[in-house]
Amino acid sequence: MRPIGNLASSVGLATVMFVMAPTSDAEAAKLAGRSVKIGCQVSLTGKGTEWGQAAKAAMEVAAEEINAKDGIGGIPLELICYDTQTLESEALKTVSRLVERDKVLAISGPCFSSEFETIAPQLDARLKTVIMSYCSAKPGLSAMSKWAFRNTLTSDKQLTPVVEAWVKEYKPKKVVIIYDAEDAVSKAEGAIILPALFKKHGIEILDMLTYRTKDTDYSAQITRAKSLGAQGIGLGSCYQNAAAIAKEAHKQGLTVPIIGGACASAPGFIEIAGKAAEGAYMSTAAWGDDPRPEVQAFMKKVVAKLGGKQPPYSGPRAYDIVFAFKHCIETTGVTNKPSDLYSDRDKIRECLQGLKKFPGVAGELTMNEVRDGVGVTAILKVVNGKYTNIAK
Amino acid sequence: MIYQQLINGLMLGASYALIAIGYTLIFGVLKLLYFAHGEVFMVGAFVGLYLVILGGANIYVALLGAMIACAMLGVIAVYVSVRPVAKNRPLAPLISTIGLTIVLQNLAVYIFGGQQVGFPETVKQELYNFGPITVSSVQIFILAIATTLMVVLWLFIEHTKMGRAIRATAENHETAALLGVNVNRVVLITFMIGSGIAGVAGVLDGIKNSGISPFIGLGAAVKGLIVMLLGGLGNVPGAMVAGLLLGMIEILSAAYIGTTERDFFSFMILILILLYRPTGLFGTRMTEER
Repeated sequence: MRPIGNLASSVGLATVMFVMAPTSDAEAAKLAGRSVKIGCQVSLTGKGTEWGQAAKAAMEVAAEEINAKDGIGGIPLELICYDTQTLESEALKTVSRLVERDKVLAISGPCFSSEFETIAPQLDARLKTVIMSYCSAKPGLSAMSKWAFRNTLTSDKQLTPVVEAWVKEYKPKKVVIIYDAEDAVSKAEGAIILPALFKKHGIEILDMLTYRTKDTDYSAQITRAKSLGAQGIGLGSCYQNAAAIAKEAHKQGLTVPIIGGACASAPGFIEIAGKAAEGAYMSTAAWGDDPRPEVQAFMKKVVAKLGGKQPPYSGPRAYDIVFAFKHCIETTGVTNKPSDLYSDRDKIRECLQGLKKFPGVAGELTMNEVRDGVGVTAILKVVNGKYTNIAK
Repeated sequence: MIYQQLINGLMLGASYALIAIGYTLIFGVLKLLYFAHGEVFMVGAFVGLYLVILGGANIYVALLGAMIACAMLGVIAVYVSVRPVAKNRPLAPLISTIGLTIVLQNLAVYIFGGQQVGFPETVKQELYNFGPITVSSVQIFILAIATTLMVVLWLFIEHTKMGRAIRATAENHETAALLGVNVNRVVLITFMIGSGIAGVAGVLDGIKNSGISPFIGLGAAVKGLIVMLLGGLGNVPGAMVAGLLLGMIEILSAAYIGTTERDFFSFMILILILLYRPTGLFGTRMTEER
């Protein structure tokens, strides 16, 4: 039998340890294993290149910062990233690889709504791992699975204040909408969201013209818009196509104001469109002009990684996801043991579902009931070849 | 609007015609579907872009540079993916040029990055109104360069010694060789001409569409292929006319039927041609061999 004195001292020590038990993220118990594996899906090639490059750079910045401060739960964070090539098939293939082979705890990505809506139906039945997109904005997608999250605002929420500001400045009476019939968010914006918002402001829609993602010639659409007497162009379009459409309008002498949605707002729009971009309005789910020191420190690091280029909103949003994962891993009893993989993934899911006012460089993150982010958005206008947030 | 759309069709068609000319020249001489031709077009666009943004070159120097660089690429293609491949296996050179396509595209992604880049305004934008039609200086420039190239090429093929040698080689390699034609040299020069024109087409496409990426080659190759079949295999004037025709059809279908259905019409034409007129609209010299 163990001596009572020793028992008493053991109980005393245990009590002291309990009282001093970690209560903050940084003081969490050390996790098992060599590293905490977090997956990331980025579009490094294809139409989403600029979005993917910014997201990858931002997540690397986050990982460097975390690993410089003892990692997650005392062990290093290991980011495992794959290029989805902005293709639904690759997105599905790489998510399976991350879940089944790499055995990651959670996944940041994919970027595009087309990719997201391909993966989401597979989550409940097969993958059972959190995916959290840092770009996707097509309404209704996160509701497809309890494992599907986005920390972005959906397009309808992004575009509402932007259309209002655009109408207030340019006062168009009749417009043409041009949208990508193959891209999920662009199609939602062009076929549903923009028409509803234009009608709300009493604007006549003269025609709704489509194109396919890989099209490079928009002369037919612009000639039609010009012949109809459009006073404005609404775009459901990613930045490359949006820029080419703006330039074609410029070439044909159709100098009317342009408004674009989530995918169009990458800085590449201005780079490609040049002067034709001037005066255009874009919606966005984050913008790096917040004066808080932590935001500016992040922007400085990510801009350096991107060779001096400003990231689209995928940058700040992807950075915030890594810290949200860290928070959930450290505060919910995740062990990181291979035998606990499934329960660890579920703990992270439950934690993310309940996130409220979680601080981040893109603003405070609160998840709504269908696992989309809510918060404020910026209104971008191209002024002198640069995006300016006119929401302030 | 119809006249303006016809101008749009003409612009698109000129671009298709320039790509198809190279295809059909090479097919005529080697009976080879040179799949890497679209990637040569892409390389030409990037050479032109970098000459402009890094070298500060004007558009004429950029066009010439792209033409020379792509002609050299044509020579490399012959030595890398055509000559070393067994000639008694008809599929082998086809596969090797597909390999070259992948290599060129991946190299371009590695060197230039995977994203689209803007093509700077190299031709001063001005608009001219002719009644209901508005034509821009950019459109006039592109059309002038494309037409000049096509006319010069036609004169070269029809009225020079080398042009006759190319036509003779296209008819029959052995007979041409017996008549004193250096077939290897003709093949090399044909690749240089076809690739050089594709390089110019790439730069013109960059000017027209305002942006280029390493992935523009595939779409160009597919359209070039359709135009080649439409115009008749190996038929250079046929490719010129068929290019313009396809451009018009695509634009008019986009304007009056549906903008997303333009490819449907392109491929429908391809299927109809293959079914009912396999020699193309303007015939081919290689009917018997095919």
